[in-house]
Amino acid sequence: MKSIYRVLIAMISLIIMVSIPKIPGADGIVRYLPWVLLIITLSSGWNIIGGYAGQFSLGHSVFYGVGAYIFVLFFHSFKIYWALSLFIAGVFSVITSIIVGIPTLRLRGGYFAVGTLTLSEVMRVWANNDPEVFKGGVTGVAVILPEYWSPIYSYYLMLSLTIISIAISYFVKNSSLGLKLRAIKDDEDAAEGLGINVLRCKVAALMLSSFIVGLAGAAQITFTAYVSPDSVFGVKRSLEMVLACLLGGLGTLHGPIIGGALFEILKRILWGLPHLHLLIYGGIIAVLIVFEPRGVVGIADRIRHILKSIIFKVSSNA
Amino acid sequence: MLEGTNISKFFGGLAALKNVSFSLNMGEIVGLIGPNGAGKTTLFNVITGFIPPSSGIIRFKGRKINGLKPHKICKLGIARTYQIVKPFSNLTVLENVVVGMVSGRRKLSLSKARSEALEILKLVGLENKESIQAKNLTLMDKKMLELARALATEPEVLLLDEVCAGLNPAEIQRAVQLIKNLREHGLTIFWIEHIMRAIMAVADRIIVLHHGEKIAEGTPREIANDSKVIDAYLGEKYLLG
Repeated sequence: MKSIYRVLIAMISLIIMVSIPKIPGADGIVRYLPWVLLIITLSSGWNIIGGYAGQFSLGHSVFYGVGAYIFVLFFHSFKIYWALSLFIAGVFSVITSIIVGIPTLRLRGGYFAVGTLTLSEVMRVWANNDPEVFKGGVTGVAVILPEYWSPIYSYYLMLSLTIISIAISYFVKNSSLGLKLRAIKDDEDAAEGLGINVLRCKVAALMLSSFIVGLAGAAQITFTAYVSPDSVFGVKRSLEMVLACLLGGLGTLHGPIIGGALFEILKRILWGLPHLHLLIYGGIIAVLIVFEPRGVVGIADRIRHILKSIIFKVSSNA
Repeated sequence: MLEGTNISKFFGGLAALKNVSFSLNMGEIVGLIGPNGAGKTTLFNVITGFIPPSSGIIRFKGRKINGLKPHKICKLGIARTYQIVKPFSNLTVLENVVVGMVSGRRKLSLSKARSEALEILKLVGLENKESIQAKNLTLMDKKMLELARALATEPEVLLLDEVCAGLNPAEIQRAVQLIKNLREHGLTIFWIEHIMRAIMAVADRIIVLHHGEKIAEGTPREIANDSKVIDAYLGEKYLLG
């Protein structure tokens, strides 16, 4: 019963999302929604390694940036067809994740977080200082989109990526890899002792995660039309995925969807207060971590429990 | 079956294990006793690959296993439990066991693992608690869950690290009975225990460690009467019931 209900909700929201651009006068929304879908995609990608496997990466901007720069190289410089460029960007992102993951995923907890954070800073500084590898250097590149490209394309592209990332998350969560990752999150040593190749599982999770994040990094070029070291490798990018995930609910399937949407909407509301919005998020996240580490999903669970117990009391009194 | 030759482990200048040799024959229950800090758990950690030995060789069915990673050793057929229980606390009881089944020697599919996991839970008496989160179990149940999880990997040798510690007499009885049953199923068991009543009753042989050295080995009766063991550990002559 419950699963039919879920499939129904998913179908309805899919139909709504697909038909939004058909609504007359929805131009503004069609230009805005890719940003929302971007953060949802990023945080559900991050969730695979950060939420399911509990490996708190603070350097996912590395994969995002690699995706973005590789896409610019193939799409903008080599004039390769967009879909192929996008795929190549995703593949490069995965290759990067293997190179990054094998050494850093041997680290645990805070050491892994700091290690990945440092790596993203290394990438940012490198990109700022090496215009031969990273086109445009500090100032970045303004990407000229082909004439056939319209905002609706970006919208559908981001929507597809969001669906892909949710689908990957769903399959991981319900696979034996997902179970192993949750075991690793709880106790790495016990997992290793039970025959789980902990490093290999973590690298696999990072590869899937970076594939999604790399694709998203590439796809956002089609509506930002711009790439620079600070905009893609900056710590802010990494933090946004983590914060959106924490806001929604770490390690759950729908947490990043809710969290990502809330995050972007909050950002829009607080647009007029530059920098202050980060302070406000910080406050919200701090409160959440202390009182409900499972984010909005956790709060919803609690409310449901309270409602159930009220209904139970009322019905048993009657 | 499982054989260690001259195993030593140094932590800086401290010798946790000094030239310890042991061998387990198939279907045997061998006890490992000794005062706290004698090196019992260190020996288990060395066997299962969590700590590399400083010197010495460990062989399992004739194959040298030191230097292998823990997950490889588990897949060869050596499983263990932990002195300080390490269940996957946010997983349900059933999921804990399923983890062992999908990652151990047999690599079952998830759906097949679920049905077989129920069998193992029945064996250790957790069949009605399958959907409880492991962190909400009692200590006894956690210990039984660890055992179930280890069994799920289909081991040939089982290393038990103080399964009876902290249990009440009735629970100890149950645990001992279970361990006897496991031997009937063909398992070889290496068992660290402080509860003499439990281990003396079940073990075929007992090895005594003290300050990282093996000071005695023999049948429970021989160990109980060994003057070195009495001095180092038992305190007074242990009376066999």
